[in-house]
Amino acid sequence: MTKVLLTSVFRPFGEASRFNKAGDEELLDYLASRLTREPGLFALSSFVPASSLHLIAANLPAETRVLETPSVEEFIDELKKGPDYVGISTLIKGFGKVSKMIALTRHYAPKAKVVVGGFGTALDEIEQLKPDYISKGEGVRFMRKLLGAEPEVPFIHPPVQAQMTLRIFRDYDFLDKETMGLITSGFGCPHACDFCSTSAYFGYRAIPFLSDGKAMYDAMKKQCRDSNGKTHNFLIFEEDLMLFKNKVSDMGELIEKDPQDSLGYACFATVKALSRSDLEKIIAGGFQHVWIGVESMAVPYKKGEGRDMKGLFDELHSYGVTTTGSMIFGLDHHTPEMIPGETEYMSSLRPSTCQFGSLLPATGTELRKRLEEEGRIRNFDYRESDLFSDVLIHPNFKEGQLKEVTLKAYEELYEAIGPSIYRLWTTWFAGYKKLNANPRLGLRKRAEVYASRVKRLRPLFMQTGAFLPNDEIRRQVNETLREVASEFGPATVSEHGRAELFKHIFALEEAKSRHLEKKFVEPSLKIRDYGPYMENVAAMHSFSAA
Amino acid sequence: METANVEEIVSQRFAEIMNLNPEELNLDADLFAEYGLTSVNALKLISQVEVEFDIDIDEDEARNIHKLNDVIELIKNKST
Repeated sequence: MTKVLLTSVFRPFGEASRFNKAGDEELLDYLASRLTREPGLFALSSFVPASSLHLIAANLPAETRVLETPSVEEFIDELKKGPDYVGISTLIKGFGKVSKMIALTRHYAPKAKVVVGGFGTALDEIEQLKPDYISKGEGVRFMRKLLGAEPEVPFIHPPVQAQMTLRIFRDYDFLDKETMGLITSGFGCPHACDFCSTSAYFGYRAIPFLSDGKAMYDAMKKQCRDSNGKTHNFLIFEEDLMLFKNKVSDMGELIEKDPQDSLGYACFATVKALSRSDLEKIIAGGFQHVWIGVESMAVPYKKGEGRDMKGLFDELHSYGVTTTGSMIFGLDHHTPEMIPGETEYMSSLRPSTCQFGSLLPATGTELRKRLEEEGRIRNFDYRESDLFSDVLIHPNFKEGQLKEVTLKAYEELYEAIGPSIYRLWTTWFAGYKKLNANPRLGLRKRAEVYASRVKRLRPLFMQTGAFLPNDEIRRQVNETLREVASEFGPATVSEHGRAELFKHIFALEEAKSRHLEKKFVEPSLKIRDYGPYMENVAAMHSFSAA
Repeated sequence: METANVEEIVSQRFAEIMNLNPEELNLDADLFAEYGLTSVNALKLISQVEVEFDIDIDEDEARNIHKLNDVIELIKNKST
């Protein structure tokens, strides 16, 4: 049986070296470094697993081991076991590490063929590292072909999960963490925004992974049942899920009719596709969070055409659908004077979470080509390839200024509309009030989910007012606490106990942040083994039959 | 490790990367100006040398490599 080793690039990430910048380990925390990047102690935290490696591993006619964030020594240990193929997944940032990992493979597993995949393969320079194969674009079909298997045999979706909590709660094991299942619907995006590396990487088209709504529901349901019902929230990877109306509709009907579990999902969608969607129908079908690329007040992209942005955000929030709004600074029309206005506009949308980023001319995109032609790419270092990079030369911004205004925007948003977790909480509360008495069963089920979250989060805000950004936000939080008490009754003894605990943790963490040197939080090695595809299919079928 | 052996291995690896004859290499020639070494090929050379000799080369050390003798010297210093 063919043996395959699939791996991410090696750790460490936190120490400055010729492989990464100091602090890169923070970028692995998808929430704390991006969507809830805010000052203060309320920021959320989630380390997202290397989902694509697991998707590939579960669908190969081979015995496959997946390594996530190994050390160099741990990677060598696996190489010594003699894999036939070594697949390395990388972003552009990991280019230097890939070079070393290829050298290690040639030395310790000389018979193994090296495959490099991931967004890092958008770099032409990858070819100069001389891996045996480069998988650009979708990797499951690529690896199947490489191993002599039929690429289009239906895919199965392995369980892949991420944990969520407050950043300051990460080290408190006795506090429950939220589990979120990760589901891949498909890859790529046909909207073809000029800056979008995903769109360019997959050739400006949507490439399906799970074929239909039933397959999506089955993948979610399996994860939910395998976890005894604990995993019922999912993040669906599809660049604009609402473009796939039949898939969303079929999945939503199954979710709405499910008598056992209240499944819900977060997804990415455009204003354009959402404007053509029946909101009540998709919400009854589990739609509960959406990432919308706002990009700029000027809405220079076709995907932003349709409903008024503010009206759409407000309506989504009224139904308890939480949002991520993302904005890019450094677009051609931007000047430093315009950025506060953009930030105010984002505040006015009151997204539950938010991403601000400097325009990153990623390799392989139309934007990159144009800016290279215009001589507007600053001396490029692979390690700088992230959301807060300073790669772009902009006539209206000095070097370093884009990064500065981007990070400042997070602070201004926090001052204006408070912590992300508070915005999530109030949105769920609004949704509960709107849907609690709705005649549609699917919508009442959503209201129950919202109510449970509102009650569970109440203790977090009961005694942490001193840690909020300002008096106005404190006033709003107190007002919400009063309304929650009016709706659900006064806090219980247990809730008061948790509130007291949270107050002490906040005080302790604030003192630590003032007086202790910051320590790196490096991820540890994760290993998962997969049998050959047919064994994985059998496991999936036994679930469906049950 | 013997100096001659280090020289031989380093020359061999560099020659493989650059498609050159290892016996014709000048260990004191500027790798970038004389041999057209690119930053990617420099990265490959450093990676291979690190693995082969089980050493770590940091960013400053890598930046100070201009000729093959710099690499050889670095290996000798780190191996003692």
